[in-house]
Amino acid sequence: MSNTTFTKENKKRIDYLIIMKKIMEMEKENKKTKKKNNSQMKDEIKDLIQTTVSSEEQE
Amino acid sequence: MIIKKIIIENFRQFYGIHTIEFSTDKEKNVTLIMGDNGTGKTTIGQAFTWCLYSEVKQLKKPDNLLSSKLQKEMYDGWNRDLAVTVVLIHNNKTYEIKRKKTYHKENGIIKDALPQLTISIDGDISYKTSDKQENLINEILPKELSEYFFLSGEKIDSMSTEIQSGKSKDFENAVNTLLNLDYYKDAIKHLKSISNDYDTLSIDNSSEYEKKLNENINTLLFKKEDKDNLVKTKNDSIAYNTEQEIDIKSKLRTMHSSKEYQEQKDYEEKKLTNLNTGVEEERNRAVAYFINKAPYFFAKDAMSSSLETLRNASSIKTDDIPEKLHADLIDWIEKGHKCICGRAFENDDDVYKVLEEWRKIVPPESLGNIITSMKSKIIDKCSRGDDLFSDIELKTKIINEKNSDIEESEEKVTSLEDKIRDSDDTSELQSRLEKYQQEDKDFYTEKDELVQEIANINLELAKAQREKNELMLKSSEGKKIIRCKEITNNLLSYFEDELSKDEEDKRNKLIAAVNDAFKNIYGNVFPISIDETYHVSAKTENGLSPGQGMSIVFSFLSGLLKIIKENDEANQDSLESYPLVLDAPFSVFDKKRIKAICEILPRVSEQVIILIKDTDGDIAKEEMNNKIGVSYKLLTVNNSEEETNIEKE
Repeated sequence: MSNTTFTKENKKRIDYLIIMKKIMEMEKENKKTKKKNNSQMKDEIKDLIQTTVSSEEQE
Repeated sequence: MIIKKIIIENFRQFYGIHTIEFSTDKEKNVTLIMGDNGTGKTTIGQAFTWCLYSEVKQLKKPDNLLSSKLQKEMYDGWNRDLAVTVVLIHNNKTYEIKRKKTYHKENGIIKDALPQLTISIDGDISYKTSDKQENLINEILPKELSEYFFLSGEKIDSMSTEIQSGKSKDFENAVNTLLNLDYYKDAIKHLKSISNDYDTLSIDNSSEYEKKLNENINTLLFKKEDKDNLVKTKNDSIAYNTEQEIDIKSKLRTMHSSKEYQEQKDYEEKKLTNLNTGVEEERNRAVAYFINKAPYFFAKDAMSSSLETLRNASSIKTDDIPEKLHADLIDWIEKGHKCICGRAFENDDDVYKVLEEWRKIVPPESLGNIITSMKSKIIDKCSRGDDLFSDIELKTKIINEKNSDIEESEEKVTSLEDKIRDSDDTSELQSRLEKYQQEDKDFYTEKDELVQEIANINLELAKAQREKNELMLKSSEGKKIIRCKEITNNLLSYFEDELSKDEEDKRNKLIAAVNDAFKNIYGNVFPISIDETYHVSAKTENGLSPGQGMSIVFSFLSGLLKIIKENDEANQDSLESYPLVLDAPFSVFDKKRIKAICEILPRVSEQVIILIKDTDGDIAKEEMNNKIGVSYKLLTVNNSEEETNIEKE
């Protein structure tokens, strides 16, 4: 695997870990506060995923 | 969370204002409240839940909470308050939660207003709106968990049945919340739903083909959900029947003449259950093995032919390419129309054509690397399906052998049932038991059929999704959606993996802690196992006595609290610790068991509040003496159940 590919793969993995951590924090927070319904939670997670894809495209 | 005190005003038997200050001493963490039947032990538990959640259980008239003595004293035009205040410490802050209801008497009728809730945090009243207040209480102690920490005798009874039958979804949810597993489950639920949304997202609204594809996927998703729900209903029915069967078997066990046959039948049925579980596990393993290996087995020819093509492809000459050449350098050379040796060239020169050929091979494309890596992957995958046929043959043989053991065992059970039916007056119970067992068989058959239908729907769904993907790949917007779905599904599988690992780890710790506690309470009589829905089963030959059932509940709670405490101390998960408020829990135990429970509860819980009958209380007092921080006595006034006083001892 070339250095570039290796770095890209690593970046992808890091991106995944960041989204996972964010999702966990969002779910934990909402479990406590119960401020958002299922649909709002879904929209927030969708936003996270779409932002990641857009930043992948830009690169 | 630690409860500091409760102030009860005109709530049922508690006429006037009464305050109970609970022990907050870590060493002496037990508060004992003793009182005979009818003095208001249960009322104190109800006062807690009314204050926190505006809910009172086990009351025929839940609206009639005002002290009956006060009701008799009230004249027309009078207003009187009923209030309960709970003061607690949570995250190093003091919360004062007060729920108040005002009653007004007019024309001889007492009417009540809506309850008012006020919360102060370290003396500051900032939570004004009702929603925020309820949310705040849920943050401190979620309502769905509260009934497992404000435990009444009836609740312990029902928990004993629930956790043995595996029926209660509430119980499973509560344990998941306590063990911090529900976040994963929520994330999985949301990601699954997002993945389904991406499946039916339209790119081109004018395309009839796309419209039809989406409709098909939608229909299949609905069908799947429908069948999944039916499977859940079947599981609930099976759990209900299991509960009834446990009850009938325990009654049959007490009937002398059928006892021996019943014991033999219990043994045989246990064996049968184990055999059935074994076959199911074996079958699942075989199916999983087949699903895993079959693609390699069936795709071997196609993969071998691809390998041949790749071998030819690798004959591309790469010897002439300078080492470490990168496409960026080719870009730079082509842009300047000049080689690094100084020779100039144009776009139609051979040099340019060679550079363009090299571009396909050097990084970042790295065609050579990709081909080599692909070849080694294909060689690996080609060999993975080699043993499929012989392995499946072996697994089928094992399943068939187990099936014949099952048949033999079923025949024995039928013969024992005949004997029990003929033995004495057990026929009615026996027929009911058989009815439930027959229903169970039907439910299992129906469930198997549903599982098969779901598998077929999944296949159709996968085909429809493939077609949709092919269509999506034709537009950049579609490609983006496919990438979003890919990330969603990757996240989903990550969360499922993490959940499964974390759940298994915590369940194993729970099993060890529960068995440890049970050994302390009941002695080393039999092991307790806990499955993934927190259904507890005890490996006994003769079923459980009421005392054993309750000991299991205490062991379960103790085990759960121990894990929460250990995690809290190690600051791994920061699981929340809650006080344990137990109402009349000891009546079914003998002195030895009470002693064991008294020893274990203060050790695993940060704060224990025990509401107990006078006679049991004396034993608890004797056994827990060095752990009791404060004790109270409930005394009726003038031997009337209308009014109770609370005296500190």
